[in-house]
Amino acid sequence: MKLHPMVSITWVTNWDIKTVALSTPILLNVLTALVFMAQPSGVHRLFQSIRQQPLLLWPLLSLMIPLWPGCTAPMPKRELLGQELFLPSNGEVIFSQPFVLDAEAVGATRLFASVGLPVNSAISLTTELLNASDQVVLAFDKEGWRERGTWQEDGQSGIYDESDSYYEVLFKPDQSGQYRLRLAVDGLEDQAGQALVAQLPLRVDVQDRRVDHGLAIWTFWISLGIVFMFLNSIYCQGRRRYGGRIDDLLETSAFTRMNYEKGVIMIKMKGRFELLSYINSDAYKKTSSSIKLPLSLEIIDGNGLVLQSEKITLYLNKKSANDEDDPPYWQFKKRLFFYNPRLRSLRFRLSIPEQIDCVEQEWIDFDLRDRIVSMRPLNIRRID
Amino acid sequence: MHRSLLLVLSISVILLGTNDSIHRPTIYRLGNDGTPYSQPSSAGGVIYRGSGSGGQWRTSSRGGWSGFQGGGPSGVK
Repeated sequence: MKLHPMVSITWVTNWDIKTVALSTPILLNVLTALVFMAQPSGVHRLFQSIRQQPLLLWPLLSLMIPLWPGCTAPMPKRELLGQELFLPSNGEVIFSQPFVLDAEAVGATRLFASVGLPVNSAISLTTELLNASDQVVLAFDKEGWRERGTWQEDGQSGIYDESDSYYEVLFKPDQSGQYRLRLAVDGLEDQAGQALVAQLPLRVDVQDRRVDHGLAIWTFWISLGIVFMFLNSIYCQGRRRYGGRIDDLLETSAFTRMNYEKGVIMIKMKGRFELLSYINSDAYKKTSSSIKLPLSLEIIDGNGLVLQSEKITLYLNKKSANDEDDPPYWQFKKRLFFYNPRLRSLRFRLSIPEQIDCVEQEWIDFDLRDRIVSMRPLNIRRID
Repeated sequence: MHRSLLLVLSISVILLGTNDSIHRPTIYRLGNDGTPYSQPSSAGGVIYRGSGSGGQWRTSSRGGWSGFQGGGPSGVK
């Protein structure tokens, strides 16, 4: 087909515009895929480092166990009676207002009464709980007192006013229905044992649905403690392969030669350095509180080939001894994490200088573990 | 193994503790044998006149009242 040159040009231009508009997203996708597949790219590294994190988050759900009772609505206590009345001291019987107890109510019913006593007096107060048919279902006495006086101690003196003039009884009703209290003063005496005549103010409170908050709080803390034991048994424990208190890091690192499965390996070190014995003990005052300590790390595969070699800087921090007279010591703590992508034999060759500045190494607590899981991202060195 | 034991223990503690704090099985129910818990010597304590027996409260007389005893300035000691 032969087109007019003008038409041909127009067609090509149209095609170009359409193609460019359509192919832009496709091209972008292809480019993105290439970026993802390209081995030495930053994005690939990022995904690789995310994938090698030994994150295990489901055990954290166990923290929901102590919080579970808090998910339900709190149960408020219920006021059944709150009455203030006057009690004559001549033994006259006074009835409280009637109140309704519910045998099905959860928690306990609390009976509380507080009597206002004259200074330096004692009371015997009788309380009886009557049910709807006026039968006594509970009877008790309160022996209350109030005392005021002066105290003297070490040249100081003051006035005290102490009393025990309230009671609190917890019970559960066996039958729902109307109840009331019958109250009477058995006796009211002063310090000398003489009977007193008075109108005593009395406050009576009846509540039910009293939940034991103390027990609930204890339950929460104990349960949380057990959950922490559970989490501690999972995180950063793994499987211990080698460890103990050592003198020579280079020599000990020979014992790290073994087969490691795919996963994260942890080397944990805690070392103690002390002042050189021939140095004047005052020299530590001049020694800085933080000393740089170079750690040389080599990872060697089953054929003796060095896979990775790195210099890591540790920091020795000054710590005061328990005994004030003793000179301080310097300590380092370091955790190194490695990702091993497949089952193979490895050896970690570690060494630090025995002596640096004016301190020398005393001991190192060495711990080698694999099958490490974590609840947060770790700084992991990949062994390729 | 011990991990699942810890989980089971934690769940049992929260279930038992929450249940007991709401239903309070140790609290005396009227009509049962005995009396509610109370320490007469401590503040807020009472002395029971009688005790529950066979579904009823049987009132008994109480020994003599010794009158004023006083507590002394315990708060400043």
